[in-house]
Amino acid sequence: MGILPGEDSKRQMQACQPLLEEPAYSEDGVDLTLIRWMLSLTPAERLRTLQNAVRSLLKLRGLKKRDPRLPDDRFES
Amino acid sequence: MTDSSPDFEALLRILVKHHVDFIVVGGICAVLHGAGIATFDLDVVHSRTPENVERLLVALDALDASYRGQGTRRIRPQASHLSSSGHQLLMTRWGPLDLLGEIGSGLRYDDLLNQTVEMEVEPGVAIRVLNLEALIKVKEELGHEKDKPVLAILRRTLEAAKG
Repeated sequence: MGILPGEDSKRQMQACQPLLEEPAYSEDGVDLTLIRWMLSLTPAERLRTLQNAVRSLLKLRGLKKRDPRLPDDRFES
Repeated sequence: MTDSSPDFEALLRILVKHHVDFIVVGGICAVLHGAGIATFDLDVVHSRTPENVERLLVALDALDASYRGQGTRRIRPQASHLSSSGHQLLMTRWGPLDLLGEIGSGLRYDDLLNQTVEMEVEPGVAIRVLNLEALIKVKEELGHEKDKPVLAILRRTLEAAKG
């Protein structure tokens, strides 16, 4: 969802700053690179991107259901 | 209940094909404005005029829509349901579809219309989408805990879009 969890997030955010001309994260932890990428797309392309993401997530969920031995952290958003 | 992956393009295509007056709100609205979030249903506020409810019923028939959460029972929405201010949570052959009689502080289709933008999501498929400012305002007013992370993304998306 574009928000980093945990106490280490600020350090992680700062770590990637020097490499980028524009900040990667906002003060409240939102991934601005994702937003810039989405804004570079047309509305139709954004909808298609979501459609593909949902299909992928459901496919992964189906894999997890079929094989519960797979680690949970591969399937958490 | 149909157990199918959501196909938002197909849902929108059918609604437009049947000349249903509606406004896209919620997660799909956010994505169309450029927010990087995931959602699994299509939320729309529909016009509740008798003519539009009639068109909507035909579209819902084409979508094979019935109420979610009813077990093996298939309960189809009726005109009286669609004419109310309530939320009709449906499953269709192309995934979940939520028809909202009103949102926020009692905002109906007519109240929201001047806060929308038109977007073409496929050649020949143009839809009305709630503008980002209005979506943020509605979510802020509702104050749901679940919306807080999304609100942060929506606010930054609005800032980035304005440049």
